[in-house]
Amino acid sequence: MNCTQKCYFSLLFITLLFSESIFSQEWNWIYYADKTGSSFNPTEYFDIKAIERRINTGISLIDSSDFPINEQYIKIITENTDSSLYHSRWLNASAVLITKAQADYLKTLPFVKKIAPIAVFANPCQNEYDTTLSAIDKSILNKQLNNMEGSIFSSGQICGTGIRIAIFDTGFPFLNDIPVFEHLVKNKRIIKTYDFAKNKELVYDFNPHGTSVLSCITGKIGSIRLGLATDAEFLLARTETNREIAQEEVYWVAALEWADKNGAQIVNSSLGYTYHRYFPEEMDGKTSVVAQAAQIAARKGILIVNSMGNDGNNEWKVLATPADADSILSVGAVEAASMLHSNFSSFGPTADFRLKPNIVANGKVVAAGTKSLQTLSGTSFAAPLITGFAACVWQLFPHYSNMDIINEIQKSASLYPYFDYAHGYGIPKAGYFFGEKNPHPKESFQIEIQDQKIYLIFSSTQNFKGIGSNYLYFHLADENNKIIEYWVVELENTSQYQLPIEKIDDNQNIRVFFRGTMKTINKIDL
Amino acid sequence: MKSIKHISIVLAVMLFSAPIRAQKIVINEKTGSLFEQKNDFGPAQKRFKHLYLGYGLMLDNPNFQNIRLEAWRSNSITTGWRTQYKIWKFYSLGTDLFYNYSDFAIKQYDGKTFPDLEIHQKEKLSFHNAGTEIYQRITFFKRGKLMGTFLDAGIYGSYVFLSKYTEKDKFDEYNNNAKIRVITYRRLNYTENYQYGVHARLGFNKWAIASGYRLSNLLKNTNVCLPPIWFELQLGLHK
Repeated sequence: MNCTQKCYFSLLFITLLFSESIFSQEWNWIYYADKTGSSFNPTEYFDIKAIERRINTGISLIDSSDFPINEQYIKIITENTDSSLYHSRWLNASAVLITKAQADYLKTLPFVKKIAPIAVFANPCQNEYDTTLSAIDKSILNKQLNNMEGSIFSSGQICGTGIRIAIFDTGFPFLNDIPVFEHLVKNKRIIKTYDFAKNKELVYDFNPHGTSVLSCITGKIGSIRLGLATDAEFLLARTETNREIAQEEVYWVAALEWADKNGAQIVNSSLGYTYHRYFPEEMDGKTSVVAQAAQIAARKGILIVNSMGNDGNNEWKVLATPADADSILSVGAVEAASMLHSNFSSFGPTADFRLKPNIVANGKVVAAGTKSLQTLSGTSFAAPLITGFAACVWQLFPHYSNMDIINEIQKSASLYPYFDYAHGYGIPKAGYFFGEKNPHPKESFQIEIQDQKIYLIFSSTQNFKGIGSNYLYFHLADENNKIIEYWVVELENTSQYQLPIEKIDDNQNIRVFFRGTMKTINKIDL
Repeated sequence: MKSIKHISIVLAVMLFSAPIRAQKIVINEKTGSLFEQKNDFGPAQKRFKHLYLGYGLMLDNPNFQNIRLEAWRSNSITTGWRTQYKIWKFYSLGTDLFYNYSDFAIKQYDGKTFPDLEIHQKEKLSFHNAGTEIYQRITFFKRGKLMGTFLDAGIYGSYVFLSKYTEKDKFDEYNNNAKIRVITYRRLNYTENYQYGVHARLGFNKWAIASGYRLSNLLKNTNVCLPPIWFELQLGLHK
């Protein structure tokens, strides 16, 4: 290496050094100290549906978080930054591209409360496509709604009529050309669209994940339904990109405010952000901006349905934010054949040990692809099945608040009041909303204690018919109701089961669930 | 008789397998350490494997009588691929593969004996080498989502695949057309093919200052030793 070559190399090194440290720009949230001087007229700002939702759920039309950011603040920030992505009313913050020097200056402004970096990566809950559609796939299609007793809604003409659903996803290519959505297009039930990545209205392009998700809410061909809310109306937002990944959480927040403004009652988000940006202990519903925004939306009466994520069999294993947010429905996936946890479905709880997932649905579905119906797997597709279900419940009980919907759907679920961190409360059942009782017989087992041993005695040994009828669910909980361990036993031709009492310490209890009956056993029972 | 034996075995297998089939655990999850385990694991991890660049300087030793180095002109460049494996929250083991090019610019003074007594305008020894290092890393403070502040200590070894000697002189008196004459000798027979040493590195996120001590002599069959201490500024090419 001669002197000239070395000089070039050194120059390259120094250029890298300077470009990295001095001129590099990063996306940051600039949080403002106040909203001084801004005024707000809800009747001008909100769509009539948004106003209706607030009135119906007893939420005030005047909320400081809806007030716009002080325009003077935005003007000053815009003048002192290279690019701004979004100005969030809810967060009272602007997402901007700035250098370190610019950040140092902006920190000195009296109205800037803090500057926080927007981290670098995100990860959609997306699985690979299977292009075949066999007889087995037809069976999958049959189960994806029937496991939730969806036909009860359909036969009652409950199809999410009048419910406005926003979908945040990667794009919705070919939507207008796919027969699965013909009824949507024909009846003009796509109310608004917006691509937050490109800052334009067109969303019918890019990754087809959104098209497939939408089909699991509302798709139908003739009399065959892919989702339950075939008469709902939609707001479609593209918030995920393939390249500009640093800003996806900003787009998500922006889309949520947009959805609120345009009267969304339900938001389906089959998206999640995990190890590229966060630690598992940050999945606490408070750390990520999307979780914060989800909770604000919940306070404003919006029902958010978010997928748990597909890291159940990965090292990460736990849920993806914003599924960690409080007061939203986080949806895990089960196998259609066994009704048991799908191995890819991320596990709960949240880092602060709140119950997640809330409920589960089929994780393998038949959905619309760009060229044909496809069989797809992932919690991304379990969430929209629940979104369609929730839309039907809301149509049936229009006076319910978003929290009522969450509570009632949980109560309707197959395992309620039992829960664990793989299944939540189980699969919701439409029959509950029509007054149907639990199909399983009550008092399906007795507890007998003999010689310091606990036996579960079953009354219906030979009657293990139907999926899930022979599953014995256990969870071991401490005095704070925090589940320490849970397990599911599949019984075969047995009339009793001996409980492993060595697992129970003092102040702990085991809850057992079998065919609709839950019983609690404490150490003291011995 | 043989068939009775077979039937007995089948019956025995059926008998013993029945209780197992009767109680099959299909899911079992423990949550106590769910988040503790993941302390090992976070956004910093994707930075554990990365390319790096380095620019180094050789430290002259004034106590060496036979050979002295010119400051700044005795330098090196390095590029390599580094990885680390986390053992404990604050302790990791790591290795890297690197290519290094080093110039030892020999100071011209009366009394130098290596490689000879002759005084040139400039004179240097150069080494192209590729090798590996093994290090242990202690991370200070909370790493957060970055590499954090760390101190490495380890050993390195490399194979010298090309050595060069270059001398540069003015020869105006002999050739009016050639003001400068540069002579280069390659694949020197008086340099070693291998070198090894110890090193330490103090780093903060993508930047690190490294220093090393070469335990082996780069020169064969001589009691002359090239100064063994070097310093290097390294830049990890990760976000």
